[in-house]
Amino acid sequence: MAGRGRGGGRGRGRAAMSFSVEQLGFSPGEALPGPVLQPPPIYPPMENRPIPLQTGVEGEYMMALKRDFVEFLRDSPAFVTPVATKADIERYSDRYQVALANKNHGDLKFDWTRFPSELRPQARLTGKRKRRTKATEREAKLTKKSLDIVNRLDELEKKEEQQSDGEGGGEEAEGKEEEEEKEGEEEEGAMDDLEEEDLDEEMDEGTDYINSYFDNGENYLDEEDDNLDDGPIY
Amino acid sequence: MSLQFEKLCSLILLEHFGEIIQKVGNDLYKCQSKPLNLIVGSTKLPFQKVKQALRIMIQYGFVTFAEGQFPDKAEYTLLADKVILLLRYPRYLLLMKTQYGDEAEMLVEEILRRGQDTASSVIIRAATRLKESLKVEKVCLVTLHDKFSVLVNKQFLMRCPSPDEEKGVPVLTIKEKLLYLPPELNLKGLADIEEGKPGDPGDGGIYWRVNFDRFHQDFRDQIMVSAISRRCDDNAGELLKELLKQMYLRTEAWAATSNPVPFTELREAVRKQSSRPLLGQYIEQYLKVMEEDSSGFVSKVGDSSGGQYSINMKTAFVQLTWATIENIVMERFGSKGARIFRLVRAKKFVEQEQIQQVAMIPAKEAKLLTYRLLEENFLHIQELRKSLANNVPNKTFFLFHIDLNQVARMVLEMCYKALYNAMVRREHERSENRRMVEKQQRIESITLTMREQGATAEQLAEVGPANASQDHKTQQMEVC
Repeated sequence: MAGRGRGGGRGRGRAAMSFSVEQLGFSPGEALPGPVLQPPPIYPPMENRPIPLQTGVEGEYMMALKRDFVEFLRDSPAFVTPVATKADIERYSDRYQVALANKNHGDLKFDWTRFPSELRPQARLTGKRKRRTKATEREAKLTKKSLDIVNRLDELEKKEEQQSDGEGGGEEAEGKEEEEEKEGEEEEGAMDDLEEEDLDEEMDEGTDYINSYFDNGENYLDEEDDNLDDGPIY
Repeated sequence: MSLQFEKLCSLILLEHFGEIIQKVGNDLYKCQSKPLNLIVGSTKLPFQKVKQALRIMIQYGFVTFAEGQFPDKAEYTLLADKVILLLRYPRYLLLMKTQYGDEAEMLVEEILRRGQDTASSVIIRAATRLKESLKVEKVCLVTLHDKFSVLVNKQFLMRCPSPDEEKGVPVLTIKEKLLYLPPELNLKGLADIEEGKPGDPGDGGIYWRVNFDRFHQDFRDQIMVSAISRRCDDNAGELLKELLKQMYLRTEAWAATSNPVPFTELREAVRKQSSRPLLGQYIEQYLKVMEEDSSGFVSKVGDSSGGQYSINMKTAFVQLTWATIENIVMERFGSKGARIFRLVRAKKFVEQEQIQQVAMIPAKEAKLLTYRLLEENFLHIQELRKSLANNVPNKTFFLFHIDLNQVARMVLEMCYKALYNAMVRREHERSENRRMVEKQQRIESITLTMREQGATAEQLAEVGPANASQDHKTQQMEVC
């Protein structure tokens, strides 16, 4: 609007602007401050230094109190730690570190009647039951899938038997079947994860080795096979 | 609320309670109230952790819940003010210690540490801690129990509302008269639990929490007393304290003006307090001085029974706010800027030329300061147009004025920002100097053990010079 007014004024023949330079407060001929080309600095220089902090006996005492309070909260179970991501290798010391971190977690007791039912731990049971049914559904689907896969593998097996050695194909099929079962277990384990601690996926039978990696040496003599699909041979 | 406030709350939650609670807190801050599933969805945290976080926040009083749209599903709301109060806990404890003693401080500290708790567990824990800190063999549970009752009667502690009936989402209520009723504890049961035997102290289900308002009331009184002491002298401060005590007998805590206090009662109360004989002698003169003072703390409202005096809380605090803001302006812009500010305050609406004339500051500097104050929003401009047309060189009046509410809020925002910056800087310094601080701590522990074993001074000096300056800096950071 101001622009239009000014433009209109100019059109009518040099009418003055809506304000005069004098009114702004700068007498003509004075140096005006230069144009502002960039946003003001983030840390403008301070002209007056702030008053120094007042610390007395009370200040020190309050500081000590605060430090104690924060330390207490950090050690208490109130300090919710995020789920630690697993390191690439499981180390011997992990067992003891985890024990240390979890030592206080049993301490915090709540009066459950004062909390909404969804926050109470009993809610877990119904959740688990629901989860269990979902899990069993999924398991059913997986077993169906694995059954399908097993069927497909059987077909492939037959095809391979027609082409090459039957034993190698059979082994592959077995290996693949076990892998599918593993996956089924792993999925269930992942869902239970939400409720309980992480099931160590690789530690199902007390060893670190995934069973499919295990090569029991029967293929050793069948070197003529083109075992492109086998896992890495150690 | 505001961006600064949100960042500050977030940082406080992070420092005290960790990342997970910080994330949940951030999420709840943005929306008014949310049910559990939405929180899990938007924070992308594991379900269990969100549940844990919510439980803890409810325990400490930062989050409340209410029945939402679906039955049995609660919606959670964050109380951001309570989060900020976390920073004040040391002040509360200091107040307790100075006014009511170590045991009271310990009791309040135990409740603050747990959020809410039953009286019996608080007393037992406080007893154990006192035993450790004072190195006494036995701490009398009865004294602690008495102290607890005293605190409840003085309304520093109050009962938590409890659920009526068993529902999916419990509705917490409490009757007014039960709020400050001291607990009845079975002392034998307490003693049993302390020794480790199972016992029933008789107060299951009654939880207590700290009544922050009461503390704030005490702080307010302290501010007023110290203001009057600065203005007149200590006796006047003492007089105001007595007046406040009398006032609380008659008025509710947060009223804007108190109900009148008759002079005779005041004089009686002052006489009973024998610590300041001068005050008793000159009480009338002091009252007159305080009443006529421009700050308007006390005013005489009637003449019956020797005079009726009342304290004006609201005017008092308005005056104090003005004084604070003027000091802030002085620190930032210099005394000339402060002079301009006071001038605008006195005259309510001023023009630029008038400021130059009355303030006796050279024209250019006056203009510079005025416009700087305007830029920082300490002053506001009111336009009075003479005509609506824009192309006429119109004589619009530009009047400067101060809107106290706005300026006060702006200063509050500045404080939040400063607090946030200070906390961030402190963390930075702490992490940078972590190695130094740990080394310092190790040196201290070594020297302590060596001293106990009777080492000579040379050996102590050998251990290492204390890097006092670095450590001092870190400690300064923690003052905030």
